[in-house]
Amino acid sequence: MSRSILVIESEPWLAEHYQRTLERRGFAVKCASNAYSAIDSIDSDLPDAVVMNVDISGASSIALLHELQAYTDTGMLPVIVCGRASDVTLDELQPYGVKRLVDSTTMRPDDLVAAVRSVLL
Amino acid sequence: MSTASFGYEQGKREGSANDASLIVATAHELSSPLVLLRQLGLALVSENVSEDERKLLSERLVLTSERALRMAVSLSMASLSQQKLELEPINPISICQDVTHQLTPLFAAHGQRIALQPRSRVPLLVGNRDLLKQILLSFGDNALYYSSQTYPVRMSVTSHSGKIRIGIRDYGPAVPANIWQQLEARISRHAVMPLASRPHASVVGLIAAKRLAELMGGAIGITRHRDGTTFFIDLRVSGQMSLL
Repeated sequence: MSRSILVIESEPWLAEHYQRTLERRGFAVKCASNAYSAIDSIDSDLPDAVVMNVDISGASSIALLHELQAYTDTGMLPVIVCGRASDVTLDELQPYGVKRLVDSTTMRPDDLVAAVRSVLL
Repeated sequence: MSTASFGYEQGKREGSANDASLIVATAHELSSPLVLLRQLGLALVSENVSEDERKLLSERLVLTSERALRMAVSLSMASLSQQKLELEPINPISICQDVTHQLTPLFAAHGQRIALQPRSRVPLLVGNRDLLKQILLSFGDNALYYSSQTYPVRMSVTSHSGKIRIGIRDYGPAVPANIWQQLEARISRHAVMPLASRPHASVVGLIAAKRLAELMGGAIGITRHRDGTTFFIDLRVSGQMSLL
């Protein structure tokens, strides 16, 4: 059975691109455009991993990470953040359960796939 | 419903964000469309892309580039001086038609719609055509994700108390009533994070729009609705008809 990934990305064309990239590598992908719809999606169907942009709409990404950390099941979810390495570091995000930071200014589609695979090992 | 507007005198009192901070904020904002352009480009040259997908990706590349370029043009215009600016009587309906025509392909590509509220006769306003168009394009770009086929982003033109108001009404999340003061304060603190409720809104674009309006002796503002926001610009009615 394919592993499920939730992509949280406000820019629909970028979300679609991530979805296509991951689906072509065999993952089942759902997308959420903001923190609230992400929580709804996680509530109804817990994914195996989350890929999220730092700049999302609704509550901030940090608020969403806090929310996920607050519960036993979602607190274990591996999270990969796509963001500008000049704005945020993995050290800053690790306390919120983030396992990987992919620099959105230099990432290639394979980098995203590799990051997802690495947290699902 | 609440309305707030910010004019030239108020802008002078508050002072401008310093240029270095504005550069940082601009770099931050321009990186978003550039990240998207890069990913679209990578998708375009990847294997297993059908002809239909290639066409779609190419269209998205063009529309995203145009949007980024509009932001860049706004910023370069915001540095104009008032002395060099030529003001003239302008038909507000005609400029709104130009703006909706220019933004329609971008909105359609996102499954959204922008429309001009029909209005037959409106007095001419006094402004600079290029600057006004840039402000309206900036408001339109910010409203992109906050409409639908049923509830399009709607441009409207009204006249009241010797002023012409051009508004762009969307159905997006609420924004603070004192948004421009907050944005300028944030930029002066080098806090270049996007608006939490609207990450796609260009903070720099909104500040540039405020400056462009002030250059024409006008003011921009917002009206908050229960289910969205109208960003508007007020400009003086042209008095040329009174000379006839």
